[in-house]
This record gives sequence, structure tokens and C-alpha cells, in this order.
Amino acid sequence: MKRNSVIIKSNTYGLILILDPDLPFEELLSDVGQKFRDAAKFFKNAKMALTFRGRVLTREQERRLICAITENSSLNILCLVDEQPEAEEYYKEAIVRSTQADEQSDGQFYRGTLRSGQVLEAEKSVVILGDVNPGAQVISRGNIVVLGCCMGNVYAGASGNRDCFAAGLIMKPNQVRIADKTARSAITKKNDTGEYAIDPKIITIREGHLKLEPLNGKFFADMLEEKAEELSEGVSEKPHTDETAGSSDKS
Amino acid sequence: MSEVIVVTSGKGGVGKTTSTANIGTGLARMDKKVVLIDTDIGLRNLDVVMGLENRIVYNLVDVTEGNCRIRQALIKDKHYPGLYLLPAAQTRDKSCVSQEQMRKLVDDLKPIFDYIILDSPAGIEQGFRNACAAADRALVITTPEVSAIRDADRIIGLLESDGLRKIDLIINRIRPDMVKRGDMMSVEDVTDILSASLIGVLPDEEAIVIASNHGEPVVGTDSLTGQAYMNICRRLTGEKVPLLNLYKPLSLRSRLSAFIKKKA
Repeated sequence: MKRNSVIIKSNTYGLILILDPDLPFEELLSDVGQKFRDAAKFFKNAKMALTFRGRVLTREQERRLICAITENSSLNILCLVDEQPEAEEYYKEAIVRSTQADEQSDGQFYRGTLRSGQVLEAEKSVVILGDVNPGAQVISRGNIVVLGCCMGNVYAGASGNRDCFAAGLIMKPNQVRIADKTARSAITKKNDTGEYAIDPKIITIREGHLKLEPLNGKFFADMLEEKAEELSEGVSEKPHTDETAGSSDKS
Repeated sequence: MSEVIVVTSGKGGVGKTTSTANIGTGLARMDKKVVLIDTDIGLRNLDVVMGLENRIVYNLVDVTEGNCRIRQALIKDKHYPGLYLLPAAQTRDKSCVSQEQMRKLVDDLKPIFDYIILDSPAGIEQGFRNACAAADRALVITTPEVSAIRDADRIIGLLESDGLRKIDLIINRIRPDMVKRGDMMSVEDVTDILSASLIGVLPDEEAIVIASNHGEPVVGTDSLTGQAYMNICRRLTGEKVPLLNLYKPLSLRSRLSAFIKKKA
């Protein structure tokens, strides 16, 4: 086997496969398989964009190469990118878009009450139709909404996204974490009857601290105002969006 | 030299956790450095009784698995600077920790603390084995009920066969009025059946239920139970001459036995 028939190069957001132009395709295919089998441990479950270089491939050949890669490693190939000077930009956007979409806008529902000792872990935002009892835990890369009484531990923005929030109809959590910030409840057991009135509240990061606010008209008005400000800023200085995308990827 | 004490009972619901919290607090009141370890992985309660549940970040399993340093997992008590809690994990089970790991953990804590008190889970399985693995002394809690005494007897047998020498008995939930009527076993009856040395008797009182629900120990209050726990702590520290001290009549016990004798 010619060892240098396949070279894997990488940039921050993806892989470039440099292929030998002269080798018969079948041989090349087995080399690619071999290469990724060797490197499977290194890549683990990474999410990557992929580019082929050095050889003109048909659709069918591309497909078979991707099959060879995924069969031999647990790498997730999110998209194929054509070779272009601004390729890195594309990689970045593609990756950021696909992961951020998971964290921010997409969500899932959980029906039922989480009891002590149960842990709900979610890649996306999560809405719980039930209570989160003391000793139970909800961990999400995105937001957490509890349509019930939240008395356990909630951890939103688990991958480091400080824009995430935790909200509930009754917010009495033991501990709250959003990204890298942690807070614990005050102990008020003496007057605690265990029965609470519905009082929707939301916890967000404000000026570097966790803040618990009532979820009412005023909050929504403030939120819309902030959003409008952000949008107008975004128009005036375009490169700024790049920075935020980069920082959210740090996670 | 620090002393490692396991609080156990076999039967559930007789007061292991409450006693651990109160004895630990009592010893801390006597200016001892005390750490309470909850070994009931998956059903932790000690943090709730101590009122420290909202401060848990790391737990016993995190320490044994090396996710954090011991110091990070120790929670300082609200009132006593010398009292610490090492909470159990709630989302795991007993098999996460081995006897070997418990011994290592306790060895690491020994230089820092005067007393290491392990709260054992109910039962005689792995959790109980883990709790007992590192102990040099056991406090067996029982109530004056046939089932609790039967389990306590089994536990004492297991502890003895493990080579544990210092085993003391605490009898909980004594109701003098019922003993007087002959509806409840007396302290003497229980110690006769179990033939173990008695280190304390606790009355059945409302104060202890209220205190536990508030996350405050009862030690240090005027209640009978508070005084009884304090006396147990004194007997624990004065254990250089254990046999003499153990049978020294104490306020509650002498009051109880005087009460019983008068009736008989």
C-alpha cells in the first residue's frame, strides 16, 4: 500500500482530505478506510465538515468515500464543502449554525415529573411538562422551561452559552447553573409548607450574575428592547457577528 | 488520633441519619473537628437533615472517582466551623463505591478530623459493607420493637464477625408511659436481648421530628432528646475508659430507670 495516497489535513472546523490523483479508486477507498480506522480514537464523535482535494470525484465516488470514513470511525460528517479560497469561512458557518441551532432554537419536551435522583440531559432546549423534585437534575445545552414546580437542580447552557435561561411556573430550585455561573437557594425551611402559588419566574445572566425575575409583561418588553438594540448594532458593525460565533464555539 | 464511627441499624427508619447529624453536631459543639459521611448513595438524606442540600456541588462518588479533590466536596456546616459533611451521590447507586475506596477516603480524612462519622444505609448489602469497612467503632441504633431488635442483633453479629470490637447500642424512641404500662420493652429488656453495651437512650419526642424537618439538629436545645444526644457525645469522647463510663448512670437514663423501678 502506498502510504501517502491519502493525507488528512485539518483546519479549525473541518478536515481536508488530499487524495492521490493517480491511484485506482478502489485502492484509494481502502486506504481512506485504513487511515480513518487508525485515527478513529482521535476523532471520536467529532462533528466536522469535509473537503476533498487533489482529485476530481464523481458524486458516487464521494458518497463511497464518506461511507468508508463513517464505517471506520464514529466521525460525524455534517457537510461536504467544495474547495474554495474562503472555505474556512464556510466551514465555520456550517458548524456554528448546525450546533447553535440545536442549543438555541430547537427543543424537546419531557412529559412527567422528574423525581429525586433522576437526571434529564438534553442536547437541545427542554420543556418539562411536570415537576422537578428536590434531588432531581436537568442539564441542557440550551434553555430549560419547567411547566410545573421546579425544586431540583437546573443547569442551562451546559456547553457554556451564557444567553441561555431557566424558567418555570414555580421557581424554587435548590441550585441553578447557567453556563459558568452558579447560585443556590436561600434556606427558608422554617416557613416552608411545601405548597406554592403559581408565580412564573425566569433566571438569566445579567451583568455577569444570575438574576431571578418575574416572567411578566415588563420582562418581555425589556427583552424585545434589548433584541432591537442588538439588531441595530449588528447592522452597523458586521464583523461583530463573527466574534460572537467564535466565542460560542469555544464550548 | 481520629476515631472512625459507623452509625448503623439494619432496619430502616429507626434514626440512623438523625443520630448521625446530632452526634456530629454535638461533638462539634465540644470543639472537635468532625466530618459526617453519608454513605447512602442513591438515597441521600443526611444533607437534608443538616439543612445543607442546596450547597452540594460534588459528592462522595466524585471524590472516589477522582473528579474532584476531597476538600472541594466537603460542605461546611452553617453553625459550627469544625463540622463538615461529605454528601452521597443521588444519581448513582451503592455499587459505585468499593470497600477499598472507602478505606482510602477515610485514611485521607483521618489527619484532618478528630471524628469521622459514617451514616450507613439500611440493609446489610454493599452500602452497609462500605460504611463498615473503614470503621473502628460502631453505634447500633434500635427501637424497642421486635423487628428492629431482630435486625440490630443480626447487625451486631455481622460487625463482630468483621472484627469490629467497639460496638455500642443506642435505644431510640423510648416512651416511658408505654414502658410503664408494660406495652413497650424497657431499656433493660433490650440490652438483655442484645447483650451489648449501652451508650444512650433517646426518648420519643416531637422536637426531633420538627428539628429534622427544619434542617436543624436538636442538639443544643433544652429538649430531652437534645440533652440525651449531648450525653452520648460526652460518653463518646470519654471513651478512654469505656466500660466505666458506659454504665455511668446519666440524667435521662437514671430518670427513666427510676421511673420504671417506682412502678415495679
